[in-house]
Amino acid sequence: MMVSSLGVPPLEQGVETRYVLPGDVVSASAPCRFVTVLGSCVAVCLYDSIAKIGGINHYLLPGAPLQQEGSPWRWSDASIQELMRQVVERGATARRLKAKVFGGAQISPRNVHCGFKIGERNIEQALALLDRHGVEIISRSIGGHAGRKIVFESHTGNAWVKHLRDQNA
Amino acid sequence: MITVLIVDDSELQIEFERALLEGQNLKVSVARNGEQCLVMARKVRPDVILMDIVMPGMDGIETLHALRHYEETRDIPIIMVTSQTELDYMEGAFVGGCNDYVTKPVVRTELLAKISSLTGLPMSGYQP
Repeated sequence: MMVSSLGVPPLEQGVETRYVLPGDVVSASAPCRFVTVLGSCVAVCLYDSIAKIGGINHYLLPGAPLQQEGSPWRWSDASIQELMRQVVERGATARRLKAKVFGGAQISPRNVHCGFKIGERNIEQALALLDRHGVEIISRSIGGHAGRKIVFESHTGNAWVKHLRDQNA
Repeated sequence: MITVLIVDDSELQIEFERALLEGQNLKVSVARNGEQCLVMARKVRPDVILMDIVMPGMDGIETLHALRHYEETRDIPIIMVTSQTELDYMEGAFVGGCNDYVTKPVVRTELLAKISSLTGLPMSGYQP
């Protein structure tokens, strides 16, 4: 498994590309390349290198909703739980799962020091929940002040990160 | 009081976002296209802008670039409001200097959390 800020290699024949939208939890048994764009949101990629099965989520908020508001997968707790459920259902073994964690940026030109700190809280939740489930995090690109484009291959576990820096800054 | 500038050409979407922001002690201003947004941003000096992407005339991405170009509007936080089919715009939006994004239909807690994160607006009743 690797994380690189370099270019993503050309798509192999038969590999499907899918966008991962905010609030999505997706996995695949067939070769698939998932793409998502993150600001303060977080994406967790899970991969079982023996079964060669992986999945990715994209959640927007830490914790769990106080009341039903859209998909529960917009929140960290339900999203990570669902991601684990999906990859295990596809044949991955829970104790073999390794994680990569991305996102949680705080892109604030006014350098706000109070308020909700959504990126920071989203990261904290990912780290805490993966630890609780006993999943090792083998790489991460989290926090900072730039958006990210993430590409993750469910059949290889490879992930690529492109930092989307403000060209005016 | 924190001022939010909603930029959208759809009256329905403007009213929807206005309703989501109700009861939060926020002042809401509205611009119905990119050109109006540039005028309002200088006049109102909003604390945050909610920017639709697809608009007639100057679209959300062009307006974002223009706001980042002028010194008096350069630092205003901008949250792009996008539909799920417009997500491929978001890579360019971040490079253009947007601060975050939400997808339609916008969820109240998500919108308030992102505004809070960028402006310091207190978030009451949310303890993850």
